[in-house]
Amino acid sequence: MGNPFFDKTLNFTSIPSYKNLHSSVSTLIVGAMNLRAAFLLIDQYKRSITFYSQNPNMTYLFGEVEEKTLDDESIEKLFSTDNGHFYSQIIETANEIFKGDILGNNNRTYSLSYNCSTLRPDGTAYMLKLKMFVLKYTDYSSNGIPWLIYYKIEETEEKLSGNFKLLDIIGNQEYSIFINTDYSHKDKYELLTNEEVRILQLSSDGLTEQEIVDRLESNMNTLKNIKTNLLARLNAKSITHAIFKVKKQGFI
Amino acid sequence: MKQKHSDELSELIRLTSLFSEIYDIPMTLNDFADDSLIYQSKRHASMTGFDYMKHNNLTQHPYSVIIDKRDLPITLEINQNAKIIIARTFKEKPFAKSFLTYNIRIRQANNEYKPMKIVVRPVSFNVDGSPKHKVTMYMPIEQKGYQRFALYTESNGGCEFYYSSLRKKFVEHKTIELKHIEIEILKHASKGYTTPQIAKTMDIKTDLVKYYKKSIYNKYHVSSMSEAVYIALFYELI
Repeated sequence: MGNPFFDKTLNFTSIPSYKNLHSSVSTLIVGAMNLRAAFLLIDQYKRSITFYSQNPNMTYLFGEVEEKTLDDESIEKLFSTDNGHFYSQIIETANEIFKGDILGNNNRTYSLSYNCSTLRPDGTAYMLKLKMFVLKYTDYSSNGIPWLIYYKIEETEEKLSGNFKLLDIIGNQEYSIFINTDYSHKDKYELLTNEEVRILQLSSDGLTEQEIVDRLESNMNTLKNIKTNLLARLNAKSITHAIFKVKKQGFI
Repeated sequence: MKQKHSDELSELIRLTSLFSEIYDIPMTLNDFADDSLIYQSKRHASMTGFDYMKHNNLTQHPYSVIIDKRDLPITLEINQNAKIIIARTFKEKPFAKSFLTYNIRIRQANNEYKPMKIVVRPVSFNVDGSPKHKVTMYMPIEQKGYQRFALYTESNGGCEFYYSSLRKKFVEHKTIELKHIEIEILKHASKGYTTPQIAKTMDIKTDLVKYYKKSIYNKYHVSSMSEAVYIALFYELI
């Protein structure tokens, strides 16, 4: 397994300027210091990963250091599960999303998060939540390439690995990102709204359409509309097929 | 935001809103020179219950809306002092790392005041290396004592300064450490002794006890002995 963070690197058209970078990084460190947080900084241009931690619960992952540039071995330790291919697909999709302006607001204020299961030194499995956003683009305009990416690392109670989500901060909307894995003519990823995921969740619990309508205080026609739309976007033959696909990526 | 910003400023606004989301804390972006508010995160608006963006023509100082009246004069005084120090540091060493922390009471949306830690950090700089904008973070931490107003700078090899309300300036930690006799007085006060009783047991004059009590108040920025005892217990001094 290679380094999942750099499996598909971005193509930089110009060399980013490292001048004045110190200031925004040290703002992050000040915040992390006061909140005892742990985070990674990923430099896509230099292909380097730096780990910062003030959190005592996180030090068993990388040792007791304030700042450390990671080698491939310790990154593999972080992703020491059989699901490595899925995580590198997530990174690839994240780069794709950060590059474009999918929500159509010029500020590009959104963060992505996903769950990743990993192992403690004693062999017990636990779940990490990785929340990421672009700290620096190569330039301020909408053509900028994501260059420095921030990863917040924290332990989570959630059980499902995957659960790739996008949070639009200005619009205060949350989406689940479904990655299209079967190389069809469809887009590489689909944004599912919380309502759509909820419908799939209720169907997987064995509720009939009428029961779902009652539960969501919705309309039968609306529900059927959403379902047809969803099946087409997920490239699924039936709602069972859709549930299988979504379950694999940890949404329900 | 109605008015148009330069590319650099809108980049700072983007980062402030993202940091606020990622760290799960209220944040604001202010001008460094006159403290005027440029951007207020959603969390900050919902925490304080006051939307600065709706009050464009704010005549008072932006701090006066959310800071407790008792804390306001000293906060403004310290703010002025810190600005001078930070500006001086930047003359010596441009783009130096420095930040200022206040532990003060902040008004919440339900009109109650809650102790919070405020961290102020310069984020963008003029061409000459002096700070232009600053970011303010609000954190729910209860911590008092001499650490209430602290300044961290990178000059002189990374120093921590604390504010002394007696000298009206930032001083080193040594200067405002409690003396042995002051700790002794705190110990007696924690048992519920009055000033004459303390004087009698320690075999010193009443005026001297009063003098040291005032000195404790100044060092800890408190207004009563019970508050001082609480802080001393927090730091395990008594």
